[in-house]
Amino acid sequence: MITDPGGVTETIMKFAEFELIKPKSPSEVSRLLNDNIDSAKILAGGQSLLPLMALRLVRPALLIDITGLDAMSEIAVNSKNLEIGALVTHRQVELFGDMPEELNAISMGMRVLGHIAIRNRGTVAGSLAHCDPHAEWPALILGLDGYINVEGVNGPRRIQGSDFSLGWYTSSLLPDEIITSIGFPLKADDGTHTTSYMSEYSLRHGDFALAGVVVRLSAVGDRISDARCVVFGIAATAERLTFLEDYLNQSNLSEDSTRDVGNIVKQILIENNTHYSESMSDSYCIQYLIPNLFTDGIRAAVANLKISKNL
Amino acid sequence: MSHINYVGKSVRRVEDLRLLTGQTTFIGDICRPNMAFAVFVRSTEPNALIKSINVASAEKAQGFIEILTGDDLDEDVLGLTKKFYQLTPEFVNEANVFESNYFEPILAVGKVVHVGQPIAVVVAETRQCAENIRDLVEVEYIGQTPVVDPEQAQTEDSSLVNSKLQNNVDAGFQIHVGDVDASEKNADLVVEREFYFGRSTGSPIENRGVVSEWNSINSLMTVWSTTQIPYILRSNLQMCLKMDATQLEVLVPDMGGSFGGGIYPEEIIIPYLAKKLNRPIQWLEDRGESITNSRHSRDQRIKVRGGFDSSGKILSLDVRIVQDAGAFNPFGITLIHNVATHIRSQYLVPNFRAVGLAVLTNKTRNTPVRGAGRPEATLAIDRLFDIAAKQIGIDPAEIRERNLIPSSEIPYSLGMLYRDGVPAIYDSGGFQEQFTKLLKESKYLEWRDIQKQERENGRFIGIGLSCHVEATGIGPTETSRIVLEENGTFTFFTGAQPHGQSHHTVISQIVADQLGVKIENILVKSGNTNYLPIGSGTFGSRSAIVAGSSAKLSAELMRAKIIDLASELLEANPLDITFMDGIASVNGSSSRFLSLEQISQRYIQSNQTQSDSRLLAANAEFTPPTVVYGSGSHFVVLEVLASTLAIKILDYVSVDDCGAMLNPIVVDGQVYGGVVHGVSNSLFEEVMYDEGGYCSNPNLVGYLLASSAESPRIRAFHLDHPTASNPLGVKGVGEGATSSAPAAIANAVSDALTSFAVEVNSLPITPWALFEKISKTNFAEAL
Amino acid sequence: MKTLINIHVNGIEFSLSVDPFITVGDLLRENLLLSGTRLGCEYGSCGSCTVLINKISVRSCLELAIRLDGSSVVTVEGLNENHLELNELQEAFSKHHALQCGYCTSGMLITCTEYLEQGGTIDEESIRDALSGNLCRCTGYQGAVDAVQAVIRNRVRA
Repeated sequence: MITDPGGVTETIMKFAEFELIKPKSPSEVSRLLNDNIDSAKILAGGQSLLPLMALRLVRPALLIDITGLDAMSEIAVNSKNLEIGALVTHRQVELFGDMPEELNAISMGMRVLGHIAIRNRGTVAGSLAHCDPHAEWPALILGLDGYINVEGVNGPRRIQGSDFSLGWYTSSLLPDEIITSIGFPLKADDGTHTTSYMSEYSLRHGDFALAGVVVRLSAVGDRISDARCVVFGIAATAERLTFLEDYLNQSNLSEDSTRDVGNIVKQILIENNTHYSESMSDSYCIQYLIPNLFTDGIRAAVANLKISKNL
Repeated sequence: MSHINYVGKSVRRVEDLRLLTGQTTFIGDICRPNMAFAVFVRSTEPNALIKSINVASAEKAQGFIEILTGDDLDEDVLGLTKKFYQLTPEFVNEANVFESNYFEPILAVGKVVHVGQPIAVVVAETRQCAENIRDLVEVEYIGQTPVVDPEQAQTEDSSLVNSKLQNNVDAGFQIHVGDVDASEKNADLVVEREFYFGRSTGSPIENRGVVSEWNSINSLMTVWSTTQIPYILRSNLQMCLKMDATQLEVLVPDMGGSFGGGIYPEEIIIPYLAKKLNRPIQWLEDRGESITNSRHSRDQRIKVRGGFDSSGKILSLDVRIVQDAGAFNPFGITLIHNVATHIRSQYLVPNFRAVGLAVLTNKTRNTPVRGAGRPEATLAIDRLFDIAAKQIGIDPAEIRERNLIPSSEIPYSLGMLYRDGVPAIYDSGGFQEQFTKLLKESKYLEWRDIQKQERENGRFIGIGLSCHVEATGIGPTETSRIVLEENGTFTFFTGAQPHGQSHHTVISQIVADQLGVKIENILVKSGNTNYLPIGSGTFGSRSAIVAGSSAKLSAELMRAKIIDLASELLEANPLDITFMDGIASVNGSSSRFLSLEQISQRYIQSNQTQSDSRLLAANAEFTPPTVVYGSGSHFVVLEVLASTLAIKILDYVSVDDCGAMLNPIVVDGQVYGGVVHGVSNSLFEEVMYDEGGYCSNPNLVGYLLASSAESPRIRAFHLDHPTASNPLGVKGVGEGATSSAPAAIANAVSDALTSFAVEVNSLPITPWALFEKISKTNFAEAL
Repeated sequence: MKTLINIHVNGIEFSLSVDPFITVGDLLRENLLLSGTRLGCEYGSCGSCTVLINKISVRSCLELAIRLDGSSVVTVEGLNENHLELNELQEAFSKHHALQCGYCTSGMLITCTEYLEQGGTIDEESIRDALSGNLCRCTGYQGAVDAVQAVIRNRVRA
């Protein structure tokens, strides 16, 4: 169960007063953020921010409603990448019919993210910016080598997924920056087959995950290559397990070859266990859940690759 | 002879139209002219002296109307002191009962004894203003060591929760039936274990609320409250506010569930404020307050020793119960004694000893919530049987079959008094028959085969059984009144206080059958202390029995009155009158008849100054002789998923006996809801206090309720062994399912992992708790 | 600072002046006196405040009224033109005893309405999945599942 650290009986249900402004362009948003550092927050779907405001854990004096920005509600896919506009909701992604196979993990993630009413409003960008270590999107952006396009007073820039989350609820966005779109590169159509997989565990359907994994594997011939293995929920940010990735990159698509995944994961996590907290649920995550999620995930990804390669 | 039409059928509910179209009034919908809003400043410390309360900035804030602290109340508002029941001297004597006095201040004075205790109340023009103002109130505490563990609370060096007591044991009892020590000496096997059921909270989907309005011209205080016990609230208001019953009316709007409760300080102070400020006041509890501050329950530790012979027959049961009672204990021994009266369940246990202690701690008070001690009791006995069965080497179904009380023994005496002072006797029931049906409908033996096979495939399937009893329909009296309206319809007033249980529908069915009229012609009213002279309310699965029986009696009386009156008006002998379908007619005559409308109007005309009621009316009351016992046998088959240790229910079957089923789909609804409540308690719910006495999960993100995705589909079956103790032959069914589900689940999870000697003796059970158990075994290799 | 918004609620146009910090739930209940939408937690965890905004389900406690200019809202009161009668789904809820206290019912009806509109399938798992955001403490959810299945079955037959 996810507890509320330090929660007492502070339970306040009506918002403190604030002003709301609805700009028409990203540059206007950046300017407003810049002029109101510390007192303004961006409001997109509101599904992460408004609960915090209801409990008065944050009290911005100004909300910048970005739902008026143009051309940010699209999902576009071409041979090079999948791009998700800043206002795209989780539900739009969930119902997107053209999700490339290699980004399968995204579809899997959407089905377990919250509940339909939350997905109807919550945005991909919003979830990413929120940087909750138990959330799916920060793990997906890392696992699938995504990037985030942002814009600030100094103009646009691109942040690599791996550089985006810095810690609990902390992203590398500068105070004046807004996410404009999120992208996932697609592997070149050169005979490499790629698939991805995501799974997580929570006590109840739709809750924030206790922990989860994202796996992306490619295969050239029957050799695995370019493995990306991400664990989330046990540290301040999602993390790649490079030792596991190295092991997989030495393996092939036979069951035998990837048999030791669970043990390897367990070993890595236990060796680094000072990095993770010591609660009962974290021991369970490190020693049992995550090794199993990786075992199942990699097995599924390998099976997928075999099918697509007709092996 | 009455024209039976509705009772026994799944009649559609009269409540549904307004609830399904949003045309109803819950406490949050009540809006009075010039209404102000209240919020409470609550203690953030579990055990502290209040050094100072600074209201200076609060008083200057926008929208401020008033702020009161405990000191301000002085002698104007007395604290809560009434317990919920009287114990007879015979009972006190037999059960060696001791109980401390109960006193709970409305607002804390000088010190606080649990996180969430109200310290001050703020009144403002809007709820938002009130919340803003609350932020400005500064409270300084001098913290003291809190008492957080009921075992540690009993030691010499523990702080005292209640400084008026010598120690933290607020109440207790001891009973002994037969001779446990002698019997245990002869036992072939003694099994000793401790079981724990974690603290949960009732958590209805609607939070509590109070609206109060003082009419100074009529000297009438109107209190709307989400209470299950309006008449009891009224008498508490009389005491605490020193008012007369004629100055008070308690009204209960539609309620969004409740599942237990009592009388709360908020219900006293809001009316006081309404009078003091001469303005209507609304207070709405928020979800955090609901979780941390109302309806805490369970949190009992039960040590048992069972003596068995080599065939698995239980000879003796020795039980020690320690309840974490929280800082106040208006319910005295209720919950610990419920454990004692229910722990032998459907099993024949000839020698029995129980000691129970309600121990004070610096937490929110522990109160009866759906099940009220029976889930804890059933967990203990059903786990004990499974553990004993394993040690003896027999199947859990077999050990139960050996121990279920045979039908020939019913009525069966427990050899002790129930809490109402009457000998506890199982009046009805067919436990063997019930159990046999359960095994059949659940396909128990087939599942055992599947379990074995699937183990080879690396799946951990577990089967769990539980048999519970439920003492229902406790007194006191419920009255009712039925009135024949001018237009020939009936209005019925009941003291039952529905909060989802379909009382209006079920009572309409009973009354319609008695009177032989269409159900559409009955209007049931409840939730208003003006309706009846006395009443209690709805709790302890009593309303079908007590309020329902009262309804039958008053309807019978009305029927007799109608026939008498019709015979007068038609100048016939009452025996020659047939009253059916709303018409009273003289037998053998096609021209001599009267409709109800005509009868009513004739009554009104002829009765201008005589009786106390303009309309034809009948009153009746029903006082149950004692409780009657419902029972249920439950089965669950589940899988502990190897990859996550998550628990997935595969099938759930129940066989319950509530005697006559007044409305089968309503009964099923109570079973389904009760099972899911039990499932939720078992797998997800725990109010978590840390060593400092602070609640660490005061919201629905941390305190988890089972959603539809986690809830099983339940296949519910029924037996009907009616009781002779009430005119309807019914037994209660509202809480029984909640008692068996946790026991069945704990048994099933233990069964799934039995080859690793895992025992689930504590709830809730989570994957990480299971992991901790199995990590000490060779589970990983077995996968 | 108050802003004027034009919204369509249950088929009726309204022009209302609202502060930015007022939620849709508050607007419906306090300004429009549509109390059928319930506030069980006010931070999005219980689902009892769910309404349809432009045909999709939204937690009215997690949406600001000021953002609804030009939107169309349907609450439980608007599920049936004549609120003295029950529509197909409401009828099924009653028949299958999908409600007891009724507090979570408004939100459930909205979620089920969306599910049916979007072609939700009849299998129990999908229905329970869709309903998992609406907490209920009384019924155990079984009646609601039965009701939705009954409606789907009826529509297939029709």
